[in-house]
Amino acid sequence: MNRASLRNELPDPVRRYFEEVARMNPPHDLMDTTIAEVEASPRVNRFSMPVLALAAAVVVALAALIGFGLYRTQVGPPNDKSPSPTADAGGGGLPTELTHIFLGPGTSAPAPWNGTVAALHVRAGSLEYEPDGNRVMIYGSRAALVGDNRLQLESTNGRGGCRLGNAGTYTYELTPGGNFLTLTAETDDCPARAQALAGVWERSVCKPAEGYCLGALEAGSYSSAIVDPRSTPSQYSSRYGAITYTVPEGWANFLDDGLNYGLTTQAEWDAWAGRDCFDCPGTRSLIEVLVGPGPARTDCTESYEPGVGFTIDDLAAWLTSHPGLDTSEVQDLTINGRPAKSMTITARADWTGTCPEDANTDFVAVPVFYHQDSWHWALKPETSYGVVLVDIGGDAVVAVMIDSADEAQLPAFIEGAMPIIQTFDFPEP
Amino acid sequence: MQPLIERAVRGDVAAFEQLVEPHLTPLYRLAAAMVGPEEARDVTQETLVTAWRELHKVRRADRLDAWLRSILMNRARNVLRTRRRRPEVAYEPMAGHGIGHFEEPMKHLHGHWAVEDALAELRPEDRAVVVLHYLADLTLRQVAETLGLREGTVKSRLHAGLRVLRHHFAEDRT
Repeated sequence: MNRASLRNELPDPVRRYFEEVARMNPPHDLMDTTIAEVEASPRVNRFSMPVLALAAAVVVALAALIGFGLYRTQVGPPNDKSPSPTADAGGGGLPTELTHIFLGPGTSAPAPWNGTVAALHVRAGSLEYEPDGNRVMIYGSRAALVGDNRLQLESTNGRGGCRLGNAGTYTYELTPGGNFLTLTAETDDCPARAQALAGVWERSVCKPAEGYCLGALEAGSYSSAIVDPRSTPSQYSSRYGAITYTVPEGWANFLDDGLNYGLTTQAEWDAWAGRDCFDCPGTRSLIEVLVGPGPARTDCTESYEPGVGFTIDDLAAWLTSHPGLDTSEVQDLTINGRPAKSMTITARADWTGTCPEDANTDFVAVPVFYHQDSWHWALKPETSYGVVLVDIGGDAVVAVMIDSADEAQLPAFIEGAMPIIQTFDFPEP
Repeated sequence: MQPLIERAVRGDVAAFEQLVEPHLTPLYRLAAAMVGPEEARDVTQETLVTAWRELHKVRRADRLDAWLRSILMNRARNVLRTRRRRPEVAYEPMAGHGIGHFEEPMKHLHGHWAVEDALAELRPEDRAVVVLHYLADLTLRQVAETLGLREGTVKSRLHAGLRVLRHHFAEDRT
């Protein structure tokens, strides 16, 4: 697909609007006023801060941190494992434990709003339902707490089949860690809303907040919301429950996008500020599912290695013969009854190929897997990964990559990760 | 260009002006597509002032445009998020478009309210992907680098953004 045809994907009014914006010129005085602003703007040279000032800054920062810690101790941490629904209420009356995005299958909403994934946006005093990842909100309602674990909803728009002012009363239950919300309709003037809202929802607390991953997980069984391991490069789709799994305490879900799903330890998740690349090679402990892995060309040209197939047998053979890798013996196993192969791969120290991995640096890397027009997976020299290739049926394969932030601990981490991977399932639609 | 950066990092405002002047127009257009013409000026100016303060972070001169775009997109997304935190307007049957969204007073003055309303339905991060890909004509990989995302994420956000836009212009809004 070339760029011109991509542009045609835009609705005509948007395309015309962008064409017009692309001809706009900035106000004639914008550069002058900007430069005036720049001249008035102090700039701290990070290398020339006096030692005394630096020491003072450190003291102030430490004091602030200690103060913040005390404050947090007084009001309770946001991830309190034992939420009290009626305490700590938000401005609109709903407890903060409820004011999140929750994800669900989206199949129970009435047509045409049913789909493959839905998000419930609960705010301090309102609630909206987002069907099928459309960002079009329906069932917009005012929401208030009217008793222990009881919500009163009142429609604020007529979308989705409700009428303005339709009232409904729901009971809700949150699990101790707040990961699961169960909504039950007691009464609702708008049956369509009750049909869509009733059920079990998974809380999404991602970093950055705009993502749809689940964040810290209490022990239990979970469903992915966005990734679809049966997507093909030409047909991307989102599907709730396309991957299911069970974790003990101490894990977090850091990634759920069209083609990748990732788990990490809760300690590393909690320590992450949400800015740098979470799963860059060798930096974090993770279990990451890669959808549709293909053999990456060793010259890093973002294409498939010619002559190599895409089955788990083909890919395992490709890895063991890869000139940039040392591999362990390949183990045959089953993952929830599905054929799989596992091994450990280590990038060879004498590999000299280079991949552009970052906007500002080039580094030597061993390209291993590639997915057309989307991602490639590369290893830094001398780093190791556990790899589990799973045949999920219908000619689809996933690669589960296992990495430890502490290279020396990789075998132990793999040992701890395998019982979780053994619970992975990839249900068909 | 590297000497210009070094001079600007050392405090030479004229060098900074020379350095960023070629980027002013594309940045302004990006800002206009992200936050609308009314706020594009402020976002562009804030971007360049931030760039002046943080110029020492640029490690490669040939990445200056990408770096400036990143700053601008962050600022623009912040503006959009701030907008979304304003109180929502309840639906009034005779109020026209803008169901469930804050309607800006200037929208009707420049004839593009329908498109801006559609773009306002996008999440800020989806809008950023759509604008960078279709207006700035960046590849998915370049969009990913600009926003610090993975290409898979960019692809899914683009997909989501397009669905919203198509839905907006196709649906029966009753």
